Amino acid sequence: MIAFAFRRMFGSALVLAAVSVLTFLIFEAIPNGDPALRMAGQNATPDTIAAIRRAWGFDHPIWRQYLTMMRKIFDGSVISYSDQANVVQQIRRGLPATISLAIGAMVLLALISVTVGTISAARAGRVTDRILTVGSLVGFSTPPYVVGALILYIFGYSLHILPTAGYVGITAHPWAWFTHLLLPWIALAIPVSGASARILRASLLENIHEDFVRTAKAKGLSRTRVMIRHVLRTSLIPLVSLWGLDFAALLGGGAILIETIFNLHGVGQYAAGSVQALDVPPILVITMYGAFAVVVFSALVDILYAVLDPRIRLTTG
Amino acid sequence: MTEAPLLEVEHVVHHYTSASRLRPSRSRVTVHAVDDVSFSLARGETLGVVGESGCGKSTLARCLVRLLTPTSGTIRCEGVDITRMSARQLRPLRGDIQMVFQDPRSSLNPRRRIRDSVGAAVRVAGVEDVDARVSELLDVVGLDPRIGGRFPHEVSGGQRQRVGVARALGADPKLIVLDEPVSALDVSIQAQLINLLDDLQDAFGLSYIFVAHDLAVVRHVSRRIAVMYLGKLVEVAASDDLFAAPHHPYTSALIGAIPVPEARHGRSRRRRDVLAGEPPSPISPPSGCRFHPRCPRATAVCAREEPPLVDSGGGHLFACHHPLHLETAAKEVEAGHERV
Amino acid sequence: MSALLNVEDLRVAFVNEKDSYRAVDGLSFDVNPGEIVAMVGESGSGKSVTAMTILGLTRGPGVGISGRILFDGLDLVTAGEAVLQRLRGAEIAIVFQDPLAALNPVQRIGTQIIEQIRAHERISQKAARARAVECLERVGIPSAHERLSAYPHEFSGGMRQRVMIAMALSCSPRLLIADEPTTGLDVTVQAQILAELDDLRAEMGLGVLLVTHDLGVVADIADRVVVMYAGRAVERAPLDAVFDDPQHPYTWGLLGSIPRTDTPRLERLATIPGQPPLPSELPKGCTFAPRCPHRFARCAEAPLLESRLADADHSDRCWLSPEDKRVLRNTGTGIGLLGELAATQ
Repeated sequence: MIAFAFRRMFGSALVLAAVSVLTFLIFEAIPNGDPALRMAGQNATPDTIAAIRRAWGFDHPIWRQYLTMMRKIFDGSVISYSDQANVVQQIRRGLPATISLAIGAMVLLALISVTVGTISAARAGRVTDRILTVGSLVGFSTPPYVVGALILYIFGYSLHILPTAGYVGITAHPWAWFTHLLLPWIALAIPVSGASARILRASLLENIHEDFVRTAKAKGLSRTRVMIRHVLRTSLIPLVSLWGLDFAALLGGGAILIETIFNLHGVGQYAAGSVQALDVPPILVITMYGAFAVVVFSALVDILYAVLDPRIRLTTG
Repeated sequence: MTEAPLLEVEHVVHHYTSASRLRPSRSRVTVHAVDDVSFSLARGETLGVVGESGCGKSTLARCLVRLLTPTSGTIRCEGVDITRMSARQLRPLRGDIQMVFQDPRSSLNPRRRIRDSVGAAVRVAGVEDVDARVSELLDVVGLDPRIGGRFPHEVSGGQRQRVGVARALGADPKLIVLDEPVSALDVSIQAQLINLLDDLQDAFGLSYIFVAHDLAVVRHVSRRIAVMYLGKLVEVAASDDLFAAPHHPYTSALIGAIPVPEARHGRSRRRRDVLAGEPPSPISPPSGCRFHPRCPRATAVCAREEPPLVDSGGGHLFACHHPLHLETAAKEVEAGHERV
Repeated sequence: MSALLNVEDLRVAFVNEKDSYRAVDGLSFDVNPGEIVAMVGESGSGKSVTAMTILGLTRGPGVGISGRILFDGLDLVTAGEAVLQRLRGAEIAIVFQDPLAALNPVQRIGTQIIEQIRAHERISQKAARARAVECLERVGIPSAHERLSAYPHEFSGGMRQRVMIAMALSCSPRLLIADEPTTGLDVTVQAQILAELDDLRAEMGLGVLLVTHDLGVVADIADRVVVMYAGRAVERAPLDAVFDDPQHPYTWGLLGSIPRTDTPRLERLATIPGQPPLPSELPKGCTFAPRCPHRFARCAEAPLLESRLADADHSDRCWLSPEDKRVLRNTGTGIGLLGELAATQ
């Protein structure tokens, strides 16, 4: 087990290093990306630009710039090019919103997909199933930002039921925290739940015909118990890995558009702003942070899968 | 018999290691699937190989048709050493040794029509008019040639197995290795297929190696039977000799365990000696004689020394320190000569 | 002695838009307490469908069930789902073939056994656990206490089947249905399991309905035999009678096509020509007639299951007279289907 853990950690470190190098190089290659020019502003003189270059070390060879950047990231002193703010601190400020968004979206996603998937499977082939199938596909095909914009307009601007923007910390005002996040949660959950519900439906329909379900019925268990404890539990296992990675993506600031639409000032919104300004340090840090989240969660998901399905723990052969 | 044997198998060993993905420290386990098996097969003969799960008979079958490469030992077909031949070298010889598998459902490509599956084998034999030959083969195995246009799932288990036989025949083999060819079939269909195999053997001079766990079926089809336990041969004899006077306690237990379709034998026989325990795993075989933990006749020497395979006379081989039905057995073993 | 289970003219048909597939077509038999009744037949004979129908596991849209299945005076065909649920696992238990597929692969076996116990009895988790250990010990599983937390795939084939049997017997049912319990197991393990089943039957006074295709297994532990063909019983008799004096040509065919180890080797096995009929295309008249070399004019009329011998317990579904039967089944080397086989030996 220890050897396995070490191998995973080593592999993950390699992945993170590769991500950082790649991101760094991409922004080096982008036209108009010269940070010195952007910092100097409109009417800068060549002297000012040269001075900025020297001060910031932009005249050093590329690999040296990269290493300097990495050092600053790891000792927490990296600052953004556009506003000289400490990147790590900015990210920390955005984390509560992003985390709240991620967790809430996943909970809602789980609830919606399990409900829709189970009902679909139970009424397979009938009208309810067809309606839910179409619904799932529509949901799945609609990008989150479209859903987000739509419900924001309807519930926020038109009907004034829910707030239109901003994030409120949970400790400050729990109800406001909830109302401010409700629309973003729905916007994120609906598209992904479409896919999950379909997967769950297929998994359920397959498992219902399995021999062990027949045995469960033969033991005299009630239909509900058979469905939930035997069919559902086994059918959920493949979804766990899917959801784990979705969660990692959200946590890593992946909900860029939703955070921006709803003005939540989370990590994703910070990333969006930085990309627009071609501000390399925040982009780099957020990308690495996102990659880190995915790497950690994919390992967790593997472990969880083995916990849930003991057959996976077997050795091969 | 002065004629050279068709197949000579000498000291074939097949081990494979399997490692764990999640827990590499739990390490590599070596599975001793086949551990020093030797025998020879004459032309037109049927050798039955029996044993229970984990005895290695299926692995042995696959080594013979070179689906697997033996870890050591030699396999000679008509004098040619095929043990370590590469795929390319084997290609011209592939037709000589064919295999019929157990599961008629999974051994035929479900996406190919029957005539294509059989046709593929016919092409191996270099026949020009493939379609005619395929029809001929389907007819020979007792199927309507029109079945060629169907897919495997559209025909019954018995018919699928006949297709498997047709495919094996298509390559114009000298030897067919059959790995549990009838276990998945109903009893009445089994009988039809067994009779068919018999007819084909007479008509085409085929040799068979018939691997199965059903000793009754094996006895019917084979002139000689080899009994395997945990990768080793424990007894080899002519079918009638094996049943009349089994030397190895395992053989005796196997014979005793066969449920006989006759009322008288039922309960009273069962009360006698049901072999205890389970066939152990080939990963860590017991020391000495591999059967000793389950053997009612085991003594200290059995746990220490592995008994050699010796001849009790007339080609009846056995490997046991305390054999049954044999007065001269003790002397043979003490002499320690292997007259194989 | 009143029967534990009484099946009367059971018919089970699966109907879809195209056709109707009659899996069981008029089956009658009973099982008494403490006895083992074997239902023998090949694939498609309807034996597994019968076993599942007794427990109401075949109910659903597109399934037509008629006839009566009397258990303790209660008709299981018309009983409500709630009643059946109470009986399943508690009064009537079933053991399936292929325990690896029949046990929940992601649940520990202890959990599965306890679940059954607590579904029927109001006892604490602790007490149920203790009972589960007892059940495992009773079927001969060593270190039962530790094995409770094992998963199905961690057992060998024979042990797994024992677990299934332990689970089935956990609430002390009165009737045990065993659907091909030893198929796929090694011969030595099969012998062990059959011996244990027989002992458990004696110990618990169980009635057992054993579904199998293996006549050897039947001879080993059955008390009475029901031979099934195309959804009907074609012969019904005590064990000795079926093997010593079989009355139906299909039974002769089955007996003749099995290679024997206790008689000299034959050159050819006597076979039953052709294949069993498709359940959607059952022949009119005697369903076995198309494959029977001894058919005659009367076979166009479906024979009734009756006792044509002195022994009222021995019934068969064949119009031939007992004298004709005795002659025709003798192939010279024993009992078989084709009379002319004697000439080719």
